[in-house]
Amino acid sequence: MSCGNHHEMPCSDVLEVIYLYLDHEEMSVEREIVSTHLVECAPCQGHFEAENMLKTLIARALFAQQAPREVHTHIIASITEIHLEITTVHEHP
Amino acid sequence: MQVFVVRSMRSVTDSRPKRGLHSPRIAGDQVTWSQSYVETAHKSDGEDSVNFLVPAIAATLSEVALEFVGSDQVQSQSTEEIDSEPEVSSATPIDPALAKELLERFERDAIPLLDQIYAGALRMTRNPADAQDLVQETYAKAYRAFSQFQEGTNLKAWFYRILTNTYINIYRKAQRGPAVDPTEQIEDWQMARAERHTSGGLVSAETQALENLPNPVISDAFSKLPDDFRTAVYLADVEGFSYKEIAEIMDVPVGTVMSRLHRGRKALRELLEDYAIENGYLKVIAS
Repeated sequence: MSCGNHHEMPCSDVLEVIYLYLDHEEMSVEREIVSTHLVECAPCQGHFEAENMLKTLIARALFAQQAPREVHTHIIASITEIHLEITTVHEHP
Repeated sequence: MQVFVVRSMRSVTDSRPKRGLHSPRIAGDQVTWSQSYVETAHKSDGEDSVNFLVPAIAATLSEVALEFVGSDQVQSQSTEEIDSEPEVSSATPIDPALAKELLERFERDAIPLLDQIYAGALRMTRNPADAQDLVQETYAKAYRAFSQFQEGTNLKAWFYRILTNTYINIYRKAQRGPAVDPTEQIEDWQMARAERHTSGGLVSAETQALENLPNPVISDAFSKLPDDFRTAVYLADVEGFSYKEIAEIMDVPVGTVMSRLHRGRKALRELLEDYAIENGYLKVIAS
């Protein structure tokens, strides 16, 4: 895809690294160059915003809720049980 | 570094899930005591919760005779090793203080992750009963292997690795007969509806439409993604792990993580677009 305008980094290259940019991963180009491109280029900016929105929505919708109280209770009981097993095993080899 | 492992773990490690796990075989007063911890833990994250296990086992700690084996490569262990039975070499008692320290460290570092790990398990299993079993199994495994965890490295990633591995071993094996390549599944699935979506003019309107979607719609759509894509997207977007960390958790190359993320997000976006169009959040102008 190209918006038809000239950029330091072509649109196709920007779209190739758009996830790396979005996820703050290491890229073969400077972040700055991609940022500049996004400011200059409306179609690429639109793409980025859609991806960014999706990422934000996922985090918002799936944000960790508290585990039910009984889950805590059972984990504690289970760990206690394991520890008791460990600590009593050598009494009756 | 010394690693100590313990004989006679078999009964819990081997008991595969496991609805029946919810019936602890321990004395009533200990359960009651745990309950009081839970109340404390939900009330505050302060000092109160730090020593919740110690009183229950302190009395027996002096009788502890743990055995140990030496190891220098704890961090590079694979999840298969976490899954397998601990190896025990010659019996050599160690300082009970070490066992106590391990337990205290587990309380301090691992128990506070419980809500997050449960939420992750819930997204994997998609139902609370299985999520609870999965988390319980994960914590049991983690506690048994905790001496092998290298302090200072990423404990949450370590837990997610055990969680993911446990999930695959238990639930997925049970669900599927012959192995199906997940990439084939998604390709067929996406193929059927691929033509409808173009990149371009729709994007800005789409972004606005997405923003207005209610959370349950998003989590419903998310739960429709294939396992591997769901996990990758969850680890990246909710937990904020790097690609490299996700690769380690899922035990795949970074390239595979990128592909799963890409496909997972694309599929999710398409599901949400469909929903948005069908429910009037997004108007499509025929081109």
